[in-house]
Amino acid sequence: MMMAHPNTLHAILLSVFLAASASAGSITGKVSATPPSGPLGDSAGGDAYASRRYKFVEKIDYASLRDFIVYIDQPVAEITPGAPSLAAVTTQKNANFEPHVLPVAVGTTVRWPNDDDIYHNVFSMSDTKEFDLGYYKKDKTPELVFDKVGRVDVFCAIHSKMHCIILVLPNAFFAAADVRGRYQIRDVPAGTYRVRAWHERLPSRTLSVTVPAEGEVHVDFLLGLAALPKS
Amino acid sequence: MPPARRRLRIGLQTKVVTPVLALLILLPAFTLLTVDRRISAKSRAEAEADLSISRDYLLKSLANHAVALIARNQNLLNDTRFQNIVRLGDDATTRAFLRDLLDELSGDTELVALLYKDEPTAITARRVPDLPQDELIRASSTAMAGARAGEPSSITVCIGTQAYKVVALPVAVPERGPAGVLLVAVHINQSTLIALKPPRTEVILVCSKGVAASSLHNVRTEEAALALARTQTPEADAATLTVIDGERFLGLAADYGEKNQGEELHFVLFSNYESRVDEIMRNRITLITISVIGSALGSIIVWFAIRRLTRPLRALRDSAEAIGRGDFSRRIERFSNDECGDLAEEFNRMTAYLQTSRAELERATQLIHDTQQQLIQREKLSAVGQFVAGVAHELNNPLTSVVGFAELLQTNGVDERTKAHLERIVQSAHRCHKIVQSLLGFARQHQPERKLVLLHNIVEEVLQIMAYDLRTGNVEVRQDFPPTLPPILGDAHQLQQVFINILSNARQAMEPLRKKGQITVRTRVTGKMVEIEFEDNGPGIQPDHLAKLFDPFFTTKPIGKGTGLGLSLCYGIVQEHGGRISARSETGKGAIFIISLPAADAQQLSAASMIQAATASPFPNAAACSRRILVVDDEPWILELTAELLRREGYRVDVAETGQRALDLLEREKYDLIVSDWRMPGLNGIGLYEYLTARDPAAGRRILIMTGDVINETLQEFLSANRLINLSKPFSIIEFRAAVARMLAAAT
Repeated sequence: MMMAHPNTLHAILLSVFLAASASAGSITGKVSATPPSGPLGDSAGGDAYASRRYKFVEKIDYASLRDFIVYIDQPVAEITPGAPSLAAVTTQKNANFEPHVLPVAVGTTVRWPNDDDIYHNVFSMSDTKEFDLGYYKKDKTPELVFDKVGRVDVFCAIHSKMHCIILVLPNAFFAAADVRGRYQIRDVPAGTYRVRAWHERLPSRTLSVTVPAEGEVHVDFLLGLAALPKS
Repeated sequence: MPPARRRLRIGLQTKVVTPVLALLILLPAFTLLTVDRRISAKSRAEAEADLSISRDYLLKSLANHAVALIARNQNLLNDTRFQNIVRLGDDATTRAFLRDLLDELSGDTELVALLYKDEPTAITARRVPDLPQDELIRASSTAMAGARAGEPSSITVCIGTQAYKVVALPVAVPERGPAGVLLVAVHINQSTLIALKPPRTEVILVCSKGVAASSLHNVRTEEAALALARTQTPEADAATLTVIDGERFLGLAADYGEKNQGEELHFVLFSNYESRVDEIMRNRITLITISVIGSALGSIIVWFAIRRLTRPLRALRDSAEAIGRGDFSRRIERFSNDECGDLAEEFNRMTAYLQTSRAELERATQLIHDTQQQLIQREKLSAVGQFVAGVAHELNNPLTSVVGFAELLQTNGVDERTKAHLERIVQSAHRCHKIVQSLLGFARQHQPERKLVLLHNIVEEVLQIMAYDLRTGNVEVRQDFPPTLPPILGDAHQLQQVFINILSNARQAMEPLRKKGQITVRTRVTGKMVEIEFEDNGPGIQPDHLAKLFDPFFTTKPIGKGTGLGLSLCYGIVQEHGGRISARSETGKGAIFIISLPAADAQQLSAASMIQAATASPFPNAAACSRRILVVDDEPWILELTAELLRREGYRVDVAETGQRALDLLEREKYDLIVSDWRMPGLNGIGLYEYLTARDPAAGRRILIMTGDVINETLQEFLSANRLINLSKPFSIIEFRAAVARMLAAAT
């Protein structure tokens, strides 16, 4: 239901990396999730877990997972954190936040407009950023600057279903995977990086990627419990 | 037994079995009926009680339902989001929230409405757009009033044919106090009722416009519920039995308990009565089966018992019937050691007694019959005897003349040839006389006398009597006699009878043989006995008959031919004579009858000879020719004969033809001897005698009676009473002379 809005993302990425240096490569690849093992997955837990007792345990449909984010999980010196002019938007529409997951570089300002005719409230109790924007309709559009790397879960005080995540990242080299799980991080300076694939519901996975000066490196991520290192 | 009684006859068995059977059937039937009724009533009562409990249960469930609804929504009020909304007081936000809330709430929640304090319109969210929400809110005013007063309230509301449970909750914000009322309307539908209804019961909710909800989808049930709700008083506990689609249901209408603006709301409980009916039926069938089996068993036992009880009676009846038929041989076994057994024993005793009594009776009857036969026989013989006596008397007079005149003629100096002829006449006449005499002897019933008799003479007499009979029967008689045989003491007539009997038996036995019969008569002396033996060459006597030969009434002759008395009589006679009679025979070789009689001893002989000497005293000479004799007889030739004889003797003889004439003569003359016939017309011999003795008692000594009729008892008595000497006709001249002479001698 909630996925990164491709247009918005592209606009942001484009504006960030067009001004970057010429000696840079791209990281491309595909992010996908897989059940722990086999099509049914070990999490099915066998026949006993198919009983009534686990009937209401949420089962993850790995194939339809969206909102994968791939980013370089380390500060990149060449590029300074995003300027304040770089703004992102999270809209409250139909009693929902759009997009559901918003990756921003640290220091980015996010605007919170209300498109509905009813009151909404925007607040977060996260350690990264704690705030409460109060109740408002279209009469105002509050703005917030996220100046600390981390994850911020945002809610509405009167609509319990309203939830979004602002993923504050250390640099601007990130990409949201599209519907088919493809991503592309452009204009990455050549070098070796820790690249992490993230999903709100799955353990992240970090790979060391060497980005060439020219061209692109292809890295596929497979998320899921099966991909966890065995102790 | 008359037919009418017979028709009504009912056996003892039936009499006992019928009421017992009736009892055996009626009693279980009655019990069955009672028990069945009780079970049915109890079952019904139980069902009704169950239904009442179900109603209470349902009421409780409904109350719980309301409480649960209130509780559920109470939580909502405490939700900060709701609090925030209320604080915001924005209609759109509230509406959106309510819409979300409706989505969150269960599917039967039809309406959520928030009425802010002091605001006329309600902010609502409804599941179905055409829900008459205003009407619903208006109908819930009572509950709302309660909520406004701060008390969560609930009410059941009927809109059209739909029922709703409406919960009104007071909404308050901590810092501002009461803010309004939240209404939650839950539709009461089938699933609600199914969840609420008591087990084994169907619930139909009925409002004034029709059925609001039902725990089962069935048009007929709903119709029945409507009818029941209208007819039944909700307060009454009485359930009604209703048939829906062929199934029986027990229906109970109940008031819902809450009223909204005069809208009547009832519910009807239906409990399936079919299972109970089935149970009752099963009970009934079990009871009936047991009863029937019990009755049948009882009947069989009773029947057998009765049969066993009446068995002695039936045996008694059969035996009584047998006895009635004359079968005394039946005896009843002693069935049991009780009254019946005693009865059987008594019955047997009675039967035995009856048997002996009957046997005695039969013997007595037989005896009477035999005696009667004997009497008849005797009467017959007596009649024959009288007849024969009459004939003999008539014959004797002529015979006397024949003998008398023939002898007279012999003395008249005729030539030798004539004399011989006359002798023949005399002998023939004598023979005739003997035959007559024998007949008289046979017929006469006189006292047995003991005289010296010679068997030969008797046998000859018998043979003479039977000569004709034997000759015509083609029987030859041989005599094998020794020259002399000692005389015996006996009754010649009786012995004659014995011999006649034996000879005629022999003749009759030989008659059908178509050959020449032969009877040999032998006499001999063995010791002091004289034996006479009759042997024939007839068919003989069967061995088994031999023993019964001398039994009275034993006869082999056809009925009417013989009396069976003959040989029995013989036996008696021989016994009286101190002798024996026996028979021996071999079948096909003839029979021998042997009679042995004691010979007369010396003493008897001498006594007898004295009598004979007296009777055979010599004829006296006509010494006294002057003697006068009167002869009285109605037969002229007798008179003539006697007068002639006496005159020849030298007597002076007068004759009289009648008694009267004799009396006349006696008046004039005096006679030394009166010879008178016995039987005469007018004055007879007795009259004459009486006349004489009347004048002179000694005159009786001078009368000599001539008789031709010796069997007359009157005469015999008369003779023996007066010691008169009689002369029986026909008599020979010698006899006559001797008698006259004796009389005269005695008289003088």
